[in-house]
Amino acid sequence: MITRLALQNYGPITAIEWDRLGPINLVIGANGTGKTTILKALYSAVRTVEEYLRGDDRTPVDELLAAKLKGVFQPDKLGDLVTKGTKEPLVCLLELTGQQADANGYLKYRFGAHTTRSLPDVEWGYALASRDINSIFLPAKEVLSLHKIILKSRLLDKLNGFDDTCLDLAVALNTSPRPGDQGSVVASARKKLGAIIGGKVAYDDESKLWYFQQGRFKYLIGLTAEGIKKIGILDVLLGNRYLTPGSTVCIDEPEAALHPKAISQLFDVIADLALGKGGEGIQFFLASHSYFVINKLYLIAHQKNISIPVLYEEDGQWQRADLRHGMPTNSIIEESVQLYREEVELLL
Amino acid sequence: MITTTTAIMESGMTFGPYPAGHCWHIEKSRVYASNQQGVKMAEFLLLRDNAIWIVEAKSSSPRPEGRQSFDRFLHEMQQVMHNALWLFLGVRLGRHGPEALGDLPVAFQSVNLATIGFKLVLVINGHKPEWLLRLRNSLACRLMANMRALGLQESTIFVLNDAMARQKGLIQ
Repeated sequence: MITRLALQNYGPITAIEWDRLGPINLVIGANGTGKTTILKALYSAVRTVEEYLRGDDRTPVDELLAAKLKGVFQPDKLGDLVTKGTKEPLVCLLELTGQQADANGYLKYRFGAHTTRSLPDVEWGYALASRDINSIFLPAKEVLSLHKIILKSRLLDKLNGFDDTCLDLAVALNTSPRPGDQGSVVASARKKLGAIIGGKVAYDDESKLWYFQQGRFKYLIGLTAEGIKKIGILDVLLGNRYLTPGSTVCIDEPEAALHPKAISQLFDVIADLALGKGGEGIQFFLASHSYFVINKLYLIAHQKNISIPVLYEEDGQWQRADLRHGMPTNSIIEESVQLYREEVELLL
Repeated sequence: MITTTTAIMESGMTFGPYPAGHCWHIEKSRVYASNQQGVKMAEFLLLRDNAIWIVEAKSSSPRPEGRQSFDRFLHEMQQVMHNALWLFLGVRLGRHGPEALGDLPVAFQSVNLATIGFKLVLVINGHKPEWLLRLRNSLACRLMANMRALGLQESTIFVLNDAMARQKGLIQ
């Protein structure tokens, strides 16, 4: 589980210090404030940690990290990630814990605006290699209908365009299912996800195409609603066990393409997965500018009596709050108050 | 008949006066007086704009951060609204006898129960605007089953502060 993320001079982010992270964590802010950057910074760091010394791969951690940053952000040179106009270096610190003490560790790196390809200053905790779990980033845009194109474009044609969040997801969707018992939490979550969309998203080995199966009928993925694809992807990643307890899931704009009822139901499933069984579940990081999402998580924090840390932007500064202790005050909340005033005016 | 055309003072706010026969001071009704043991009750019912407003007034509300006190408050408000709704329906259906039905203002006796709207309105004196929606949503969650059982929408639940209540002409 990720317990702390600290960033300095990271693209639009001047400084954030986010610790005491929980099973579900929320980043909120208006468009262009850097929500997605925070999630991508976190994702590139945690994937580096997970891939380091995996299997027979002996790529040094600094090379893995540099490749991941280039893949996720696709800058011309790494120094382009440093906040414009500052002479200070970009700094990122990620701290993690696991169920076993030897799974605890950290990754810290820094570099300046002139850094091109290799990272000069990377520190990491000694036990990082003990991780055998996978994290994923679910971008706002769906990837199922572009699945083949993403793989060909990045792996064969070596073209930029689809970043590593899309590529990793496309690869993860291709992962063969692992045998064994999924556990009651995942089985229940998959059942609920299936109920939300009224079917299953699956891959046809013969036609090499994704499709949506609803009862006896199969629908082309191109004819399937965006929201169904989005929820279907999570089900596929649970089904093939790419995601397991200990995984981190970053979801950018979870509200995109989903009906409010489906958002509410999806978040109930997320809460189940996050709390897991016996205390270890899948950790979620969500970036949103939807009051509906904030309010749903606020209710979950109270219903489940869990901490839901929030990072929110206000007047150019990133602040911390916890939904268990109340709603943060920012422009999204203020807009909701205004909407409520209008609702009262209209309906009462 | 216990109706009020005079103002109702409650929780530091002055409600009304409302048009004669359009307000039923349920908390002061004889039927409630004889059935009140252990039954929390709203202040009054107001017939307005083809809907019955069930109005409860409070001088303050605990913040959601104090979970136990907030939960207790929500539970109390759920009881208040639920009981007021059911007591009105019980009286209107004649289950409390002809005397209780006779105490009900004539306008309330003649509303069509199948089509009349219901609005559950909690007014909290001095409540911060940014707390209202959270409280409304939390209360709506609590009342969801009660509302659905009667074929009502949760969207008919409102939490107002004194400024909004004044704007809606509910208080002076």
